[in-house]
Amino acid sequence: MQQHIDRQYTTQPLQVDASETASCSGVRSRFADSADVTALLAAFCFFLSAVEYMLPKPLPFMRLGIANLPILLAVDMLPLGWYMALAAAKVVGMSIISGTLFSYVALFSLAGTIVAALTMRGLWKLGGRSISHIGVSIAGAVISNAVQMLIARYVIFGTVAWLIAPVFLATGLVTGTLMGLFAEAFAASSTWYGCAAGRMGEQAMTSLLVDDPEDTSQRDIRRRQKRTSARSQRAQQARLVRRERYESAFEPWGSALAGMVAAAIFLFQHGIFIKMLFFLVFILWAWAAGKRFSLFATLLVSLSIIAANLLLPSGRVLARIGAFAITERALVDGIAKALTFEGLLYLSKASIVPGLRLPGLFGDLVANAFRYYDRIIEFKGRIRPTMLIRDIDRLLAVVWTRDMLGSAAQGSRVEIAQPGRARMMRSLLLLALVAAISGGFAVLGNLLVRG
Amino acid sequence: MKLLQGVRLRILDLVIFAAAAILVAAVSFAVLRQQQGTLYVQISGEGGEWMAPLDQEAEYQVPGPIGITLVHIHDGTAAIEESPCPNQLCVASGSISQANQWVACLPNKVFVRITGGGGSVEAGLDAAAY
Repeated sequence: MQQHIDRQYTTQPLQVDASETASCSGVRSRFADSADVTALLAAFCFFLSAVEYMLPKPLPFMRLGIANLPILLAVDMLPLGWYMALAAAKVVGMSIISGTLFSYVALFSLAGTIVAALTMRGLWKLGGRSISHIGVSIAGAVISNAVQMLIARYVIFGTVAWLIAPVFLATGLVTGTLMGLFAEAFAASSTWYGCAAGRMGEQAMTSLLVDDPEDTSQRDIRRRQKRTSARSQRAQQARLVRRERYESAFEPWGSALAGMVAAAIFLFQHGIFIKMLFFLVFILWAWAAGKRFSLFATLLVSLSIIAANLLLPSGRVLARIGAFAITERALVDGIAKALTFEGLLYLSKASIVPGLRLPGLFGDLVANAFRYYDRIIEFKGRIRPTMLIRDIDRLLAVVWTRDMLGSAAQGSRVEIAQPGRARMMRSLLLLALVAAISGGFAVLGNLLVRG
Repeated sequence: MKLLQGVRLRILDLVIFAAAAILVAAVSFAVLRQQQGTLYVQISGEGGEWMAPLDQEAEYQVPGPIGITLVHIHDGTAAIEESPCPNQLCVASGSISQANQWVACLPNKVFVRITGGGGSVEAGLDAAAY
């Protein structure tokens, strides 16, 4: 079953009535299933990171860390093994959804999240009554950002990375505090959380499910359709068609493998010209795979990487703006770093298909999380800023108690059946093609350097 | 605000907040000082201008009207190693390492100077003035 993450808004509102919800004992036993709870929390992470993606970002690398909220809440909800599995699933799942699995972004995310998760758990257990979600959250956010800074400094960007360290860490402090406050308030008044932590009677949840405010689904749909212009709708349709075609043409593992091969060869190239060639091919690939990307955002990020690199001048002076010198080596290095960073991002988007199956129990966890995520984004109820806790509580309760097997009726698309053999062959062809082109570029790069 | 219902601060929360705030402040000061203190070697000649960090080993061949002057950055100092000028004063001047110090080969029109901070031409007090 493939996951279609950005599906069109269906016109069927979610019908939930009291008779559908599980009985009290059924709900309690489900909460004891840590795998299930973890999957839902991971899906909640995906949802929050999608929300964070839509919020305006003052600086390109500013990760607000909102997506760590479920991990923060799970500090005393899950046993250690599942807690760490949640952290890992959050990173891996988000990387697959956004297609950044191969890029440096995923590396940042992985390091920051894992270290933060361990820190938060440790502090919570050690602190006992002297600490609340607030302190835990602050520590987690600051450490996460600090780790990401270190990786930026030692793995990709060099000494330049220190320049944004103060701002980045300060952001961690602020968001950590805010999220901690929210988590405390949520833990105090959320019925879903209360049931999950075994503190509340399950009857409280059923009242949440019945108590649906006015049916806003129809109004929201009409409002949303009016906002998108006809042209952008056509463009999106065309993109989704390309995506369907790509995803049904190749095995997910074939595409991912091709991506890995290309990434390996790409990373060894040092000349800007060759990097640029690779970059253009990756953009084309991402377009052919029907993935969403913004060249404007890429340009902004690249310019800021280059600008930051220019702050440490080196080499021949090409131009002066006032007292500021634009130097050759700093410029070339900056362009190279930007190309590497963005290139891997596009490659990742192109080659990672959401249907990517991961092996074992962890793979099942991620797959279940995706299923919950599909349900979350189908949620038709309102999320009002003033009643934030209540609405999120309702969202969790609804998504949690809806019958998992009933998903087929709610408009999940059926995959176009293709013979598995043909897909394997085509995937191998893709792999060969990618290897050939990458190898060709590498050879070309070698010739240019020598010649 | 409804958001703050049922929220109670505990002692470690404040401790952690304070520690994080101190960390942010410390890092800010460290980065600021490092930026202000970074010294650069500014080389100008007939063919153009170059800038290089003082702490990285490098060699620059600067073309001029009478030939090529070799500027060597080594061990946190900069010096003119070789130059086609007749009096060789520039080579004899030795090495420079402080902000605003300079050596020059006037016949070949090569000027080597140490500036402080990222790319700024003017520095503060002239440390070499005595």
